[in-house]
Order: sequence, then structure tokens, then C-alpha cells
Amino acid sequence: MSGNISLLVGILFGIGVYLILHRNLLRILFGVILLSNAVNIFLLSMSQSPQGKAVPIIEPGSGPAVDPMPQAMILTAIVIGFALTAYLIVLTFFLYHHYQTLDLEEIYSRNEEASS
Amino acid sequence: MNLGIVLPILLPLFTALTLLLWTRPSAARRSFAALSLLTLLLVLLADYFLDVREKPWVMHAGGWPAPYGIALVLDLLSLLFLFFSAITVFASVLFAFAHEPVSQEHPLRYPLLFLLLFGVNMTFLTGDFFNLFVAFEVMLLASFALMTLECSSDSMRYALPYVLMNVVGSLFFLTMSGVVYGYFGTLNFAHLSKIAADPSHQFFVQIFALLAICVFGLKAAIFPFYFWLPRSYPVLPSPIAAIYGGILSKVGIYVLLRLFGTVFPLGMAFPLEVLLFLSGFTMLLGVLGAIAQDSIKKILSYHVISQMGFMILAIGYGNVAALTAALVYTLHNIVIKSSLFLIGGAGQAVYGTDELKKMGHLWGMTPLLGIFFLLQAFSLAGIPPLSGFWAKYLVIMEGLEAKQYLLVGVALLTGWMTLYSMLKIWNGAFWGHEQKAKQYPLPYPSGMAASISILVLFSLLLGFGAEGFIQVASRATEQLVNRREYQEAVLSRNM
Repeated sequence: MSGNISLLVGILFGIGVYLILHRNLLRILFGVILLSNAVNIFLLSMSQSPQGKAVPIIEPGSGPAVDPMPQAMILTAIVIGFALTAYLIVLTFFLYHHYQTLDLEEIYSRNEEASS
Repeated sequence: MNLGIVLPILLPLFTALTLLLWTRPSAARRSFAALSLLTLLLVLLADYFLDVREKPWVMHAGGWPAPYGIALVLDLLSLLFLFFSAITVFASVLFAFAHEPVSQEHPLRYPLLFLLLFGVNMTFLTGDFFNLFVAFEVMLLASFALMTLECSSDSMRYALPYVLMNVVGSLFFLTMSGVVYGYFGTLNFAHLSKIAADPSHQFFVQIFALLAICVFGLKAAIFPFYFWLPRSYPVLPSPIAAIYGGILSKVGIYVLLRLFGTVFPLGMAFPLEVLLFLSGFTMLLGVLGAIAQDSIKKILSYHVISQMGFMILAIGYGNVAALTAALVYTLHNIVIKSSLFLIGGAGQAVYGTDELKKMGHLWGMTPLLGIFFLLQAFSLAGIPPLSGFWAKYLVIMEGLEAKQYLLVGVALLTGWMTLYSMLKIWNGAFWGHEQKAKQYPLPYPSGMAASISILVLFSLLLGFGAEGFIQVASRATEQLVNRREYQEAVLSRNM
């Protein structure tokens, strides 16, 4: 199982990094989303395999529980990632509205409209 | 004791929430914000004169004992960083009051600033890696929002490098936490320092150290992670740039000090070599970039990078006295950097722009600003008896004792080139003929002068009272490397 998850995390990281290096802002946004998902799954894989382990609600007579710490970390990370993604979406929208293009090369090569 | 730890976090948070509800900008609202900062300063002073100098104060959140719960730790190192950043924010906020009239103020500016301060203070107080991640994210999101609020629509594209690189940095921080948790089984600083002392884990501790250098180096803008800084800081208004350039970049240095002082065993060869190697490039490339710019804020942004190189250099030497040197340099730099940004902002208020070609003769118009600039610029370049001289002296002495002659040479060369770039600002903005002045009738508003003078007087105090300052810093470093005391304070069962 850990081999499968490692492969999944590796593929997601790879796609995410590839997308972040693009010049289209929308692809960069999707790259950030994929990378944050990849990191969350990576954190999940830091708990051991859930085979034969109980849910982490301790009742008398329950066996060894799954490690709850990574799950807590993932919850926090998802929430924070959601806020970051929301912010990036609004920034992307603003830049599109202002420059009529999402191409970063073009956005950065437009000259300043007025002096500061 | 618990109140003393928690107030630096709760005060900015409640102020931010109050300011969010109190939406209409007014003088009363501004006074409330300033009063809250003054209270924070008083609380921190009170903490110092109670016994933080003796041993670290610990509060276990929710009553859960560490390492199962989160511990907030206040020791002298955290207190020094908290105090210096509080003074910087206070002066910058006073400058911001003078810089923009109440009618033009955006109602979200001060709430976001206080949320930023909340994140920064929590970073300095936390004793757990994941709480550190949350504090970093609070700080980052507030800084993203503040940056896009403040810059004009044409400069919004320059916020993008800052946002994207810091987002990638946070994701990398999460990965590092995952790796550390997966191998060590804990994320608490004290528990990690206990496990890391065991020599059988040396290899993974070094991997952890290298990952930490990448993550916190990105935040601290060292080579090769600094490229987001010079593109994004110049578009900020000066009081905000002072806070970003003065405090936000130093947060990464604080974490590196904490890691290399408390968590990692002293004298790990390879990560320290990496730090030394990166520091040389950081110092040189930063100051070379500064020389090439022609606007005040761009020059100062590049300076932030090269000053970071000095701090990394001192951490990289690897002995306890070098950590004192790094601490002294970082603290003095917080004050100097912010005051330089504010001085640039005052010059910009006179001319409406901070491009050196369009400025001139500020010395004739406002000699006070010129005196402030000379004092701070000479301190940055390291001229005695100002605070920068003592900081640089410590760093270079430690370098000579650690036999890093090449890097000491690079440091001296960088200091010389820093002086040259400061003279560039002096010639362009303060000397020369008067150009068309734009906004304020001369002299510029006294509020700006007052806020800059707070920081200048404080840095003069650091310079002339250098012996006391260095003694306090050495006491902080002693507490930092006293691992057993830290572990006992955090991991004991009683709170």
C-alpha cells in the first residue's frame, strides 16, 4: 500500500510542479491546487497502514487505533489550502479583468501605464 | 505567567477583530490601534522584568501536556524578537497615520496589519512545528491581502511572485512536517531536540536540517530563494514595506536560530557548510542588485537580501558565540531596515515618487531627514559607534575565529558596497538640485518625523548601549542552547 501511495504522491507532485511552471495563470492555479492535494495525501501516508487498526475513538476493548495526528494535520492543511486557493482565484480574476489576458509573459511585458 | 505568554498573541487578535467591526475610519479608531500597540509594548517590558531571563515560561494549551498538546514557550530569545517587532510595527503605524489622511484610509488596512502581527507573534511564541505552520499561514495570508490592498492596480502583477513563491514555500513546509513526523513521530520542538540528540538519528536530523534551510530560507529570502522579494516589496507603500522588510523576513531567521540552537545538536557539519555557502552568494548578489537599482525602495529591497546573508553567515559558523552574533545582527537589522524604509517614504511624500532621478536636494529642504538617513545608513554599513558596527564586528570576529577567511572577505566587501549604494541614495535624493516637489509643503508632517525618530533613537540606544545589548543577547543565546532546561520546562507533566 505504501508503494501505491508513494506513486500517487509522486505523480501528483510531478503534475503540480509541471503546471506551476507554465505561463498561463490558470494552469499555475491548478498546479497549486494539485500540489496542495499531493501534500495532503503525503501527510496521510505518514500514518501507518490502516489494515487491522480501529478508528481513533477509544472505547474499552478496541484494538490499536490508527494514528490520528496526520489526520489532524491534513484537516488544518485542507482548510488553509482552501483559503489560499480562494485568494489566488480572486487575484487571477482581477489580473484577467485588468489585462484581458492570462498569459504571464504578456502581463509582465506591458509597460507601466502611468508613473507611480 | 500564563497571561504574559498569551497576551502578545491575544492583544493583536482582539484588536484586529474590534477594528473589523469598527469599520468607519476615524481618529478614534486610529488611537485605539495605537493604544493597543502601546499596551503590547508595556506587556513585553513587564515580561522582561519578571523572570523570563531566568528560565523559559511555558503554557500548555488546553491543559494537554506536551508532546500531545501544543506548548507556547516564552524565553528571552522570543521576547527580544517580540519586543523589536512590536516597536517596529508601532513606529510604522504612526508613520502610516501621518502618511495617509483618515478620509483616504481603507478600512481593512489596520485589521489586516494586526492579523499580521498576530501571526508573527504566534511564530515567536510557539513550541510546536504544526502551530508554527499555522502561524506562518496566518502571517502569509494577512500579508497577501495587505499587499493586494495597498498596491495600485498596475502593480498588482508584482504581487504574484510574492504570493506564488510563498504558497509553494508553505506546501514545502507541510511536506517537511510530514517527513519529520513520519520519521521522528513528533512535531514538538522539545521532544524533537531530545530525539535528535541521539547519534543514531544523525542522518535524518541532517536531512531535516537541509529541508528546514530550504523552507525557512525561502521565507528569509536567501539565495537561491530570494527572487520574489525585489519584485514585490517596491510596490508597497512605505510603512507597509517597512513592516515587511523589517519583520517578515526575519521570522525565517528566528526559526533557523531556534532550530540550530535548540533542536539540532551543535556542530552538524554538512548543513552548516550549506548555510555558509549560501550566505556568501546571498550577501554578494543582494548588494550587487542594490547597486544596480535607481529607486529608493528597490535599493532597500535588495539590501534586505544581502543583510540576510550576514545572519545566515553567523548561524553557519556553528558555535554558541556565533549564535549571539547572529541574534545581535538580526535585532539591530529589524530596527535599521524599517527606519530606512520609513525615511524613503518620507522622501517619497515630498516628491511623490521614489525614483532617484526625479528627487534631489532633500538635505536642503529637510535637514532632519538627512540626519536620520545618515545615521541609519552608516549604521547599516557598519560605522562605529552605531549599532551596525557592533553587529558586524561580532559577525566578523566570529568568522575569523572560525577560520572562514574567504567569507569574512566577502562580508567586508559587501559592507563596502552597501556603503556605496547608500551613497547612491544620498547623492540622488538628498544632494543635488531641487526638482519639482509634489505633495506636502515643506517641512513634511511632524508625525512622520516623530515615528522615524522613535526608531532612530532606539537604534542609537542600541549602538551606544552596545555592551548591555550584547549581554542581553548572550543571555538569550545561553537560554537558547540550554536544551535540558528547555526540555524540562516543556515536557514536564505539571504546567
